Amino acid sequence: MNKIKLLFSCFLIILGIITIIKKPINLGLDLQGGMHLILQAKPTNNQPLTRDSVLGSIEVIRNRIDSLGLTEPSIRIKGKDQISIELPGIKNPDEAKAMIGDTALLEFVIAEWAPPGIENLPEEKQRILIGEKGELSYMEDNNTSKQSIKRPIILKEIALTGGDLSKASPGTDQFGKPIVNLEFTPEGGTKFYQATAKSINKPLAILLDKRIISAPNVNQAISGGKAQISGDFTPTEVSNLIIKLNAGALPIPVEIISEKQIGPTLGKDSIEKSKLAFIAGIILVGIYMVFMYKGPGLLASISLISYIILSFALFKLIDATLTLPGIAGFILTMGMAVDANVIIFERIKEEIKKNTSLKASILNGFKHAYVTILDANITTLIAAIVLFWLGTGTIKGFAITLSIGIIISMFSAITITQALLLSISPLSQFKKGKS
Amino acid sequence: MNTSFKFVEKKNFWLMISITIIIIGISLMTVRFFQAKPILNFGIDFIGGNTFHLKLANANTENYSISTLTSIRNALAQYKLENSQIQFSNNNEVYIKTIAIEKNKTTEILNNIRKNVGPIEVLEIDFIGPSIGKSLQKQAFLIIIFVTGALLLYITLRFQLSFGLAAILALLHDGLIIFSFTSILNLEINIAFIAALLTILGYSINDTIVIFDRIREKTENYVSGNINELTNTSLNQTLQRTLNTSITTLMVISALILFGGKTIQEFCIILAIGILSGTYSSLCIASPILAKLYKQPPS
Repeated sequence: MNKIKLLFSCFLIILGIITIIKKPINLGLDLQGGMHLILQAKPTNNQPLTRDSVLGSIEVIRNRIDSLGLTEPSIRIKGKDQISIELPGIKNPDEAKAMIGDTALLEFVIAEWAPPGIENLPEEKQRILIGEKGELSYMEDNNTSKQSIKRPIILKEIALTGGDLSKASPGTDQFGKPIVNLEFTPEGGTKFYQATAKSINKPLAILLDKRIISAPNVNQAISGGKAQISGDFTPTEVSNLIIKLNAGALPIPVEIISEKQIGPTLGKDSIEKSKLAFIAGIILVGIYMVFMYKGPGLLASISLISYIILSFALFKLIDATLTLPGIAGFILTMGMAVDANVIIFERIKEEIKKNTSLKASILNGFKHAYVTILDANITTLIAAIVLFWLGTGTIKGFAITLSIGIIISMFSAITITQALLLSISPLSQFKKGKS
Repeated sequence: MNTSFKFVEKKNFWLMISITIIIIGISLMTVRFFQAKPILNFGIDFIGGNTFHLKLANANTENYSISTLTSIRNALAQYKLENSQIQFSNNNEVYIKTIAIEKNKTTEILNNIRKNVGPIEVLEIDFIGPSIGKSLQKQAFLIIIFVTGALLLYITLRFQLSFGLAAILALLHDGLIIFSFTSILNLEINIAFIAALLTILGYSINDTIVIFDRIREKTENYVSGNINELTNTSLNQTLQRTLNTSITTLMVISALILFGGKTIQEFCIILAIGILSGTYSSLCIASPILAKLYKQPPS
């Protein structure tokens, strides 16, 4: 029976070592660097907050992020109306933030230039000039001179939106300035033709996220389903805009409510330091156990190392993500894993004092220790389960390592330590050890 | 180790030690309250805000602390954040903690600081909106209630109600002690703090249960003597284990404090205080309370 246990333990440990070598570890953002954002979806007057609109936003954001060419970005819904985005190893977080957060709602609006000085008129007169459905807006014009001029414009009616686009691509105008070429869907092309037909000798305003980027005057109705947007774009702005237009607009506006950026050096530093602390911890505990319990203390150290191998392997097997608090939790459970061994050894020492045979003492000691270990660990496990259930993010990761630690430590103490103790009991040093 | 300490009889002495620590902690919180400061050093996880952990690439090491400090304050002043906490540490690292602002302005603030102090390397940046802080407060509260309830239930089922109550009171003691030390040492209360607090509670309950298990065994097998004597014997019989486990765990934590980075260090200081408090409460608080509450089951 004992030999079977010993063989089984060896088999598991070998499997564990193979798993550790073969399977790569998932490092959390805090260890590999990157950015974590939490977005809050905000309902607007015409767009209520629904699960579909949030899921739709996730889809759009995923399309935009895919264009950044990152490895393994993670975009998930969080709760009912939040979106959690993890971008490991991102180089330029600011660009990504702009890419993600903008709604990118493109609108073509039939408009009219307002008479200059309209902003100084009393409100009733403004209302008459603007009309029932119109809306007064201003276009910032930086092209004409160095000073920015705000030109009043009356927005009348939305003719097309980004949804009518089939494709956006980069281009240059005759002066070599970057522009965006648009191709409409057949339906969009018709709408564009009608809008331009209505706007002859009037401006057609192009708005991105409610900001007017240009308002060219229409000379004739345009058929063929193609258009250009020229603004004061830099080449980067053009390529980002194209990504956003092709990915589509967010169905619902979002706002960043939490942001975490971790530079790549900090994570590497943490890993190195944790490794050192980990090794120092094992050595210290090993020395102490051998000092306190002699031979059996050595066995406990072997059992501790098997514990580390097994729990690390299980950790990798369930694809858990290693984070900094996770490492701390793991190192902490090492201390607790030794505890089960201590309980067993102390109990065996007590049994030996009753002058039973060594083997009987070991078996009796284990029998009593089982109950204690079980009750003590189950109470800690209950706490870990509640943490996993109610916690999020960091706390959840911590709860996972803690739970794995508790379960494997019970197993390694009850199975591995016992098997080792029984197989060397004929030459055990318990009697010589201090008691 | 054959010891025969009289833990139960000295219960008033033990209680006095704990109460002294708790009173110091609470007095400090009260003083802060009247000074209109936050009673505890809450991190941005709970109250929202920004933290920037930056490395100044080409700061003048000679007098960077004064001129750079002013430049950073000026950069923050545009966002009415000039009263933020700014700390310098080795290797030209700077740590800035601001109060909650409504919208995410990290990029703008960072660019402003760059403008004033030159190129900086981002080690870590955090922005937590006020709404997230609120939901975390609620989460922490729920976790504590549920953990306590579940533990009380389990211990009552496996032992008796008096064991459960004694264990929970000991946990309450540990919680109060940790908050008192947090108040005394002005440690930051953030997510890691909550994780540490819960680990300690798990550890402390583990410790208490090992001792209670021994007391249960004695009362079930009816060893002669009254409950005070039984408790004392049980405490002494398990003392070696209690100490060994604390020592090994503290060794590991010390390794983390010595070699772990800044983030881990504060977490581990809280853990170390908690492990000491947890061990102490199992020996000197939980067991005397149990001896007081214990009722002989009708045989």
